[in-house]
Amino acid sequence: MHRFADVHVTGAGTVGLDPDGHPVADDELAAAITVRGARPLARAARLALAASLRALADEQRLPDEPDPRAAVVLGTRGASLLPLAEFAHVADAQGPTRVFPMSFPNTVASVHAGYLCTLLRRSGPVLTLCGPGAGLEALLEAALIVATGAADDVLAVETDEAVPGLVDGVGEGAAAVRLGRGAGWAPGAGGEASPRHPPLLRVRSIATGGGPDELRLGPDGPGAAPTLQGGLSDVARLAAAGLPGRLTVTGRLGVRGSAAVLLEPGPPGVDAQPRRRPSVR
Amino acid sequence: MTDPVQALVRRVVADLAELEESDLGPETAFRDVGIDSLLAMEIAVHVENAAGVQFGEDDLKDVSTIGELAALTRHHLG
Amino acid sequence: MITGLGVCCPLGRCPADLEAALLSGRAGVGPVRSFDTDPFPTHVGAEVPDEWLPAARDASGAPLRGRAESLGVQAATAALTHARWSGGGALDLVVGTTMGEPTWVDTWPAGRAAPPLSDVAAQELLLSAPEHLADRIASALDPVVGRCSAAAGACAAGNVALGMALGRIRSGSAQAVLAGGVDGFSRIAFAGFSRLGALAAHACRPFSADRDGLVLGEGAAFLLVEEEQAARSRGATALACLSGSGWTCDAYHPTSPHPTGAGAAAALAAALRDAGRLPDTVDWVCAHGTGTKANDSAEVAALQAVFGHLAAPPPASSIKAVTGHGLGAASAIEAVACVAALRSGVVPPTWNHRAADPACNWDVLPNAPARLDPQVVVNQAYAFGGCNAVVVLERVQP
Repeated sequence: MHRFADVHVTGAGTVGLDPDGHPVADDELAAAITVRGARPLARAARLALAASLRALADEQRLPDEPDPRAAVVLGTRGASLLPLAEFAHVADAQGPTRVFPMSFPNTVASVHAGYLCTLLRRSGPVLTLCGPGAGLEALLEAALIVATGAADDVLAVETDEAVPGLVDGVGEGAAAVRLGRGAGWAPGAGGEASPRHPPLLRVRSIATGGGPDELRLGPDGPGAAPTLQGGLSDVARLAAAGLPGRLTVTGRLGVRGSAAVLLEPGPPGVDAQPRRRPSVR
Repeated sequence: MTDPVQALVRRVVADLAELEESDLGPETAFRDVGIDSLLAMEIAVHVENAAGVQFGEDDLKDVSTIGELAALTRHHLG
Repeated sequence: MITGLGVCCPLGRCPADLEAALLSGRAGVGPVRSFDTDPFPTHVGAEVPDEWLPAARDASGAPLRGRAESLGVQAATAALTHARWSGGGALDLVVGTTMGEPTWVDTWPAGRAAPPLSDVAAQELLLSAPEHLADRIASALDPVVGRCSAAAGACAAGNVALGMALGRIRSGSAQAVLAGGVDGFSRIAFAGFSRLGALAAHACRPFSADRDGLVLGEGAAFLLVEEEQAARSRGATALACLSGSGWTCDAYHPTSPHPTGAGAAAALAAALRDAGRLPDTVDWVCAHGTGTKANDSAEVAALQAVFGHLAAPPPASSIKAVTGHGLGAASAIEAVACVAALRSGVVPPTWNHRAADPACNWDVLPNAPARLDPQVVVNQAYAFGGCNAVVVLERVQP
């Protein structure tokens, strides 16, 4: 079990994830991507970028130079699968020497997080996890990065486009949760810490296990609160909706494993300015 | 009268490099508008497909402006 | 604490064979056998012997065991055997990879990739994902595996997996983590690197003035990382200490490193800080050294930034000259080479080095192994998307 003294959700955003399975409309996606340079991105990376930009909505602007204290942890199941099929199709139909050079990086699942870092100006740790529980695993790794001091501002993002047979029911989409340290702390555009909007949630602890039966839920751990089966997108939605009290989100972790995330309402900020409502549906 | 080959090249460059077509002329050097060697290669492949030509291995070595790429394309169209 | 090693790569299927090849310069590079390279301008690669790989598909063409899975299972099983791991507590498994399992898409008949994908194609596409590779390796090791993670880390995946393992041991969330990297020789990867102009014509010559690219390879390597007390109490042999990890992103370009090596230098500095080691304590750098013009000069720039002020900076060598570039497996294979060097005292050179390059002004130990008796080594790796991952490994008294 990981107990966190100082890990807070300071932003959240989602795009798509329609419960009726509808894809994200092209114009919505285009409107949500407010930075240049997104053209080479695979669809799942664009969805991740849109959700991330919504989670960063409080930022006046992105820094000019990449911030070495800002990080990205991405979780996905199939971000590179359709790019891989497309690459194979062009190689097959036109010959392997005719594929577009820039279509190869998108077949590699770790490049999408690299694009996010480049476009969002983040040069701290970057990590990509794959699997049905990759979203919660991204949240866990992001929390650890903040807790160990490897970075101060981490985006945990989960993304998937609609790959046949991959996702049942829920439509394609992405969810981004921004983690930071301390009540009301957030990086300024120039890199200095400054009191900003109150954090949305506090991440109290995360228990992990090889399976649901192995989760060690102690009296002061996730077992002490009402439980919701879910993933990273649920954490994003809770951050937007606000929590009346403690709540545990449990779900799959990585490829094999389970996690239980204990969340609390965010503490009041030092500088309680009204914040823009996170864009979460 | 707009040269159609040049117009095609400008369109591909504008699209891939996310630039305004009106900012691109025959003298525009790729380097000056932030196009690195990888993006230049990508542009060349898109122009090949759009124009129905195939550039040779060494053809692109001396191509550094929109006008030069258009001339190369025109050359291969015969 | 590292207590077990397993490797399956073009130079060998056990750490001793790998070390012997690295010190003698026996190369695993040759003409590509797995597929027809006629359409491509280059024709060399580093593949494992065919007899190490069982048939990928059954008689009816259904997927049986992919190339990456075969390599991964062999290396993971070997690491547990080497560690004399008898279970008695679940093990975490972290599998790093670039391509996952490309065997299925690589072997599709003509037309199968055309959209819309058939059910068979969609099913095999799902089997290609990194998580499926990790799950297959976990299944082969059952019942010892508890948590299993798939880290997509491209050419830095092995170091990423090791960094994740270190984090879990330190935080107490795991007592033992089997961490490593896997990638199988892939036609898609060959085509992709070829189209990027990244493949060498004949040989991989890291840091050499006449270097012209990487030689695509394959392999798998796993290291068992254990909490020290737990390892000692089960009587495990301590092979080396994994003491630090650092991750950064260049935030610059999808395939080219930042020319100043800034992100790479930051990852190296972060790993040393994490290990509690100053730059002057490092005795050897196991370099990323792919042999491309861009990587090697950026890498030396990073070394200069971190070590350049020292009176006796550590030499750096790249074993990719003889192993080829094993992609996700590379930094894991290199970690095994680091452990071997820490234990034997002899570090492998950069083979195939022909001419010094002013843009790579560093002691790269050209063409001859050196007895450095290293106490502290760093293993560095850089990947697509500008993702950098460095680990620090240290000698332990046996």
